[in-house]
Amino acid sequence: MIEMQQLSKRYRAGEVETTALDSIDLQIDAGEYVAITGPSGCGKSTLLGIVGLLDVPTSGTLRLDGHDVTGKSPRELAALRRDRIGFVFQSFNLVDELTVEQNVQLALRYGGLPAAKQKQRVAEALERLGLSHRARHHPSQLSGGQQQRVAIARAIAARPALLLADEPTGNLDSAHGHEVMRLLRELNEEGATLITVTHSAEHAALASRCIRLLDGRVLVDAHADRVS
Amino acid sequence: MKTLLVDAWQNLRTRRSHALVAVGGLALALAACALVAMTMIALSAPDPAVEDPDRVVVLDFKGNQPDRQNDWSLASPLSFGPMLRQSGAPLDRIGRVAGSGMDIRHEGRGSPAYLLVADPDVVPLLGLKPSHGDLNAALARPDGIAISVDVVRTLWGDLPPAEAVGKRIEGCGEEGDYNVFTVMAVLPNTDPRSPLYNPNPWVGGAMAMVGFDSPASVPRERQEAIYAAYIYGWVFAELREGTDAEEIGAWIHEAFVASPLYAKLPVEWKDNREAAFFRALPLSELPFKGRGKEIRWTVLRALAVASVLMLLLAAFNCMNLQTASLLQRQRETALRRSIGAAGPQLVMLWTMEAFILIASAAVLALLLAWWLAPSFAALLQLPPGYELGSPVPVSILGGIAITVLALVPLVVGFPAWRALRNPPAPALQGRTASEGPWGRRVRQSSLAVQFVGAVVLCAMAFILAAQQYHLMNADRGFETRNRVWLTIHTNPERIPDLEGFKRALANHPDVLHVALSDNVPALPVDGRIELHVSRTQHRQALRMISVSPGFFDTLGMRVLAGTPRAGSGETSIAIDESAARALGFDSPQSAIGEILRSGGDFIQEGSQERRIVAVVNDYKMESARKASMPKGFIVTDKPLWDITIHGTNAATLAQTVGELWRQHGPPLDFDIWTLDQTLAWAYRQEGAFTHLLGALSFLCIGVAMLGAYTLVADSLRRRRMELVLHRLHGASDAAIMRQASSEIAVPFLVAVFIALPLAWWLGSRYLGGFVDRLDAMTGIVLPIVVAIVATLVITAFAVLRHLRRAVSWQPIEALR
Repeated sequence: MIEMQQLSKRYRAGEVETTALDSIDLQIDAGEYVAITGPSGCGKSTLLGIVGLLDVPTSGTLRLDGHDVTGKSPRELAALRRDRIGFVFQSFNLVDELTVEQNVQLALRYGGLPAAKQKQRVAEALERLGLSHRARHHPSQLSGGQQQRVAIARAIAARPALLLADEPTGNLDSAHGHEVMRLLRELNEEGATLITVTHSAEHAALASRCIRLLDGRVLVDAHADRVS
Repeated sequence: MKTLLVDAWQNLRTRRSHALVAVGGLALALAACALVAMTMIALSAPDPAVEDPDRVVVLDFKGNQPDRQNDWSLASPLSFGPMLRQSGAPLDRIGRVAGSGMDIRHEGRGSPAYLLVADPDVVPLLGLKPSHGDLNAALARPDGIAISVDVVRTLWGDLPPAEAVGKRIEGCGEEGDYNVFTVMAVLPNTDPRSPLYNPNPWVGGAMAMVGFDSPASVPRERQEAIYAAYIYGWVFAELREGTDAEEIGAWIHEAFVASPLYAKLPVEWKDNREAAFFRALPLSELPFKGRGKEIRWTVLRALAVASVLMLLLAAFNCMNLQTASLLQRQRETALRRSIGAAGPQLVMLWTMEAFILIASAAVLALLLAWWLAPSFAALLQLPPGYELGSPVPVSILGGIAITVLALVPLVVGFPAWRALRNPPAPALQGRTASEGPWGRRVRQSSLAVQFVGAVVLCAMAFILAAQQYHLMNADRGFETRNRVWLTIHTNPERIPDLEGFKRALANHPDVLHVALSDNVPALPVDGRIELHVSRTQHRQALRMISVSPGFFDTLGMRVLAGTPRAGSGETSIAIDESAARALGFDSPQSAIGEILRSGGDFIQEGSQERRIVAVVNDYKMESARKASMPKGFIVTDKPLWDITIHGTNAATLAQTVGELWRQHGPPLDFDIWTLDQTLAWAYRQEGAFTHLLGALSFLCIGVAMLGAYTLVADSLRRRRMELVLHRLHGASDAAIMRQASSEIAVPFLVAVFIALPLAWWLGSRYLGGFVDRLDAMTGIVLPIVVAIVATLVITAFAVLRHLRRAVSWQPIEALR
């Protein structure tokens, strides 16, 4: 599903150049559950940003479903993101002024779905996450775990094939963290490809594949049954 | 307190742009309020020379002629003075003053002056004080005269006024010849608050006073008849202790009904109706009475409302900024609370910040008002003597202080309540709460109010501008372009020979036509009214004007039938189309040669015969605020004092005419204005109002735009993550723009919804004051639409920078 070849990302600030990702070669198949780990500054979020088409590599190629996406226009990337990718963030990134259902609907707003269809999808997503009774609430009225569930509902509302989660349990207590991870795993089991960035070894262990980064390079790429 | 002050000051310094925006808006609004209030205070003050202005009254008279719009005169026939004295009315002193004109000369130097013929009792009644000499003697002696400082300057240049006393000068009133007078007193120029003040731009401050026995006055034997039939001046009286001004009206009415004048009035004026109304006005009420003053007060009241509205907008702006500021400072607030600051202490800090802001704005406003006061007075065309802002009245200082104290809780209340509702812990953890849907609605509501103010004021400015344009360019039945008007400062009864001047004009290549008249075209006047009766017994009152035969060509009027020419041995009259219709003529042609009877007193049928020599198009000489009456033009070859010249170019024409007058005209002072200038002078108050409201609405839009600018800046800062999420989910540039601009779109739409009927109502009320006005589509609808578009465009410019920034935000920010 995702194929990276010699993918690098470098930032330049004046005279200083920083390499965030250095010649990454990775292939992630559809339906995989991949955990990306590593110390702070190792390039985890940069990698997630590039895979999520939120950022462009400095060099190398990135293929999504067999198509090279490195040269695509922002409009084409936006369309791909909208249709194929769902995001879950550490800080939830919910809009305080919008209700739960409006927050979830945000993911469908630009997809061209009729309003009735959007409403149905939102209801289904909320139902799936057990949040139907909170649809009219605002995020500030929910617990952290519930907020992250709303974020997951938003991520799956458009029925993406790829779910990207950036430290999804980082702002949650352990009970809520486990609950969120269980949900994500369920979604993966239902067919979604899941890539999650995490500091938690416990949560990383839930994945079928664990990629450990260090200084922008892949240090370990471990499947549940083998280590490369 | 010192710590609090320093703390507040430092907080303000860290948010300098917020503070500057808030202070700037408030200072402008407070300065506008202060300027309007200073003007109102100055104009409402009675004449300071009058010791007790509540007890000194001026008699006022309103005729009640059938089928006519009758107004209070702010004057009365002088015969009411003796009538009241004889009736035993409870008055201590009664003094009459007649106003007319006088030519004064001395050894070749001359000056036209405003002449006041007064009873000696007027001196104590009005507190008149000469700067030198004895005013009572000037009024008591037939050869005595008092002259103003301006006359002294004209006659003797730099001669000290004291040395003018005792000098002999020549003068002639509206009747009679030049007589020799002895200057017995020199008067300071009349205070504009005095009831005797005459705002005549052609005479300026030149004024003379004589007694009723003076040869400059109407001869004694004719005074009674003239002063009974015409309103020549004022009757002042002092109320006896315990008497109310309202009682005097009944006394005058009684005396009037008992007088021989009442018996002479036409029966239909008295038949089951009052022939006239009377009242006594205390001098303290005089600043508010009279048509010109009433318009001025309407203007000032409207400006006051606009200024207060602007202040309200600025206060809302300030409140919005404070709310935004406190939301941004959640972490700081939480930190203060974590180290033990209680709610009231935080409120004190924010109150101090607001106080510093508003007090700074107030100081700036006072300086601005003081600096702008002379220009403001000039724009309102207040005469010299109204010293606005020097010094700033104590009441203004007090008013500003009270406003500051009232604004502080308004500005701090809501933001503080909102800020204290957030628990400190999340903010300390780096999680800041949004203002919530209600906070956002409150702020959007206040922006909507700002937009309402901006749109309404802007619409009113456009409505006024459109009507002013109409006033200047409306079809009055004559042309004003490339026409100048020369008026001679002379006694109308003794107009010198103008033949040489007329010949010189006729021979000059730049001059196309010349006309003489006894009324100034383009300067709205009521003129005299006479009843005319046709052979078919159609009766019509005509407003009369005397003109030379060339009048119609000079003013570009159309002669529909006949030839305007002066009759030999009989009076020739030209009438306008409305008059012809009203007098029963089927067509203009059918009126030619017909005889009209007129010349009766009190708009009654007379026995004078006038032959119709021409019918011309309708001619409007009344103010745009009055309905037009049919006109009659006495066509005469006699010299008249208003000379209108049509040329090829108004600018050079005025210069040419001036030179020709100096070379070929009699040695008399004169003034030359273009007819367009005359028209603008006639509607100067409306013009000043248009300019001032335009300036205020401009400022108001400025304040509202600052509000929109900061609201959008702040809400985009708060909504950055939301917009990034929109981007993340595929929002296009246009969608982001739509999202970002929705912050102001809703308040703007709400404002338009509220402003439309408000502007319509205000515009209709303003235009309702004019008989001659624009139609609703051009005069109200179009200006409102233009105002809405203008406000929208300016708002768009104000927020464009933020919108462009919002479009540049990338979805990757969601990961940061």
